[in-house]
Amino acid sequence: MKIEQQGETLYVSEIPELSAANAHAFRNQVNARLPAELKAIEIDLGATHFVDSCGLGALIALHKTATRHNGGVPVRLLNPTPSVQLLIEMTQMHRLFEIQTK
Amino acid sequence: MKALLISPTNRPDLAALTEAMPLPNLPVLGQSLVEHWLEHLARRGAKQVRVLAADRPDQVRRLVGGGARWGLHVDVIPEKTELTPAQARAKYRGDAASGWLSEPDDAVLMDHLPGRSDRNLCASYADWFAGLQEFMPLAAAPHRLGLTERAPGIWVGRHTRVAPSVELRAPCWLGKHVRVGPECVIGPGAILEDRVLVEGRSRITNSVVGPDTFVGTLTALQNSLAWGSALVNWRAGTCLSVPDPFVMSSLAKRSPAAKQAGLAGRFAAWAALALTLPWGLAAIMKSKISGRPALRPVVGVRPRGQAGPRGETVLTYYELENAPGWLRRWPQLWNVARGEFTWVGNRPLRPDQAEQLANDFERLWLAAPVGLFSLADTMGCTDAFGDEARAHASFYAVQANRRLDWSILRRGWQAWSRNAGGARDRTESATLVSPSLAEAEE
Repeated sequence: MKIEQQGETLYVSEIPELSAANAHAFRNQVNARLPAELKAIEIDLGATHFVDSCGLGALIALHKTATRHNGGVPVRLLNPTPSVQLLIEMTQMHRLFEIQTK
Repeated sequence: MKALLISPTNRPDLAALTEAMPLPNLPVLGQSLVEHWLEHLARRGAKQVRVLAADRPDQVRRLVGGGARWGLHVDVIPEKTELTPAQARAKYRGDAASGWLSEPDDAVLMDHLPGRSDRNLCASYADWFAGLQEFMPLAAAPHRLGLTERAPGIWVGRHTRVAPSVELRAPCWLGKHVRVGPECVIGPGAILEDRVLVEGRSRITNSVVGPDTFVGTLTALQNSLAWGSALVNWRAGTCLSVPDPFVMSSLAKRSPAAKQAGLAGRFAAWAALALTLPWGLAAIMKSKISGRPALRPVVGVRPRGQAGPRGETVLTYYELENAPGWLRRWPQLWNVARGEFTWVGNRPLRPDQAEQLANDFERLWLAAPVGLFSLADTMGCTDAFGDEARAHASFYAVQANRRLDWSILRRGWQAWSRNAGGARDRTESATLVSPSLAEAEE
């Protein structure tokens, strides 16, 4: 997993999966890198082929953290794979996150 | 040429109709609202249409596919909220002058039917009914295959069988694969959508019967929208659930929330109660000896679409007050045996907890049946109502399948037998949930 700051945006990419195996690590690592002047968080799911309930929990926890951070910071999910996008839509998470595809 | 279709969201005035599907998917005289619009835009010269859907975009996408049916390229885009046409133009069209249909067809909010911008369908049930009545002659266009006008104002779809003694009074519309039994009176003002079954000696006037709805014998529907077992009086704006399936019911596949323990599951619950009786009785005796109540009643919220026999939205279940770990749930085997719980589902929420569900994602908790064992149990959630538990509940509500259920049941029963109290095993839990997503990908 790669986490980098691009201006005022925190960009997370190269996430092969979001599951019970790494959900806590994902959450902790992203939380640890949140800068004070953050304006947006972007999670690139282009390489993510598997998300389970723990992964959803990690995304929701990140969303709640972002809501409390700096007066509320949007979280964008970029380029989800079709199966992950289906899961996002079926669980109504598109009402919480902006979904952007290429 | 491009165009945008905006899907209406959050129309509480049509709540009974949009319970099972988003508004664009609602049937309107044999085709869904969005299909009418795509047909209209294709006739206007559109080639690429984006459908902006905040409510259940997956269901809209499943219905319209890629748009090949209309010679279009259709993309369904999930949005956080419903956009106005001006907002949609600003976001997707920008300053582009060419390549788009002319206004207002370039960005349309689908709260009316094509050519009927003067009639808002979504303002009330009465407006929905009136809109459909007015659209009947327009929907019976020459290109609608298989639709015949048997008499002026009486339209009948393909493969529809009407008994010879039925009286059809104009205006009325019968969709495809409809069956109408003997001595019925249909109309005036009756719309029977596709695959409706009306038994004999019934009377339907000034009403719409939704697709896959059964109307029993000697039933009189007047000023109504009948959708499965939901009955709406469009004049009064009131709604009730018809409890007797022989009067009115849905013929369609049941939603996951309506899933109840089958006979086999209920027999298994009886057997489990019998097998575990010694432990349960021991816990009860222990409480009695120490002078404390043995059973603690808990009020739980029923899942959506699973009201009680008298329409109640809550149910009462019991916990063993002084039992260790999972043995506390022993009395709930009785709820499984009665069919109120399933073996696997989401744990019941108290009414105050249900009020705290903050958004559509969390409210999915109530879209799954109430279960003795839950996914959160097997994932070792220590906080039964925390953020993690809510995520597991929402995931289960949309991904439940037999394989996942068996995995949860196996682990839950093992833990119950060990009285382990749900210790967490990350490796096994990844294997536990991966089959369901793999099946979804298939």
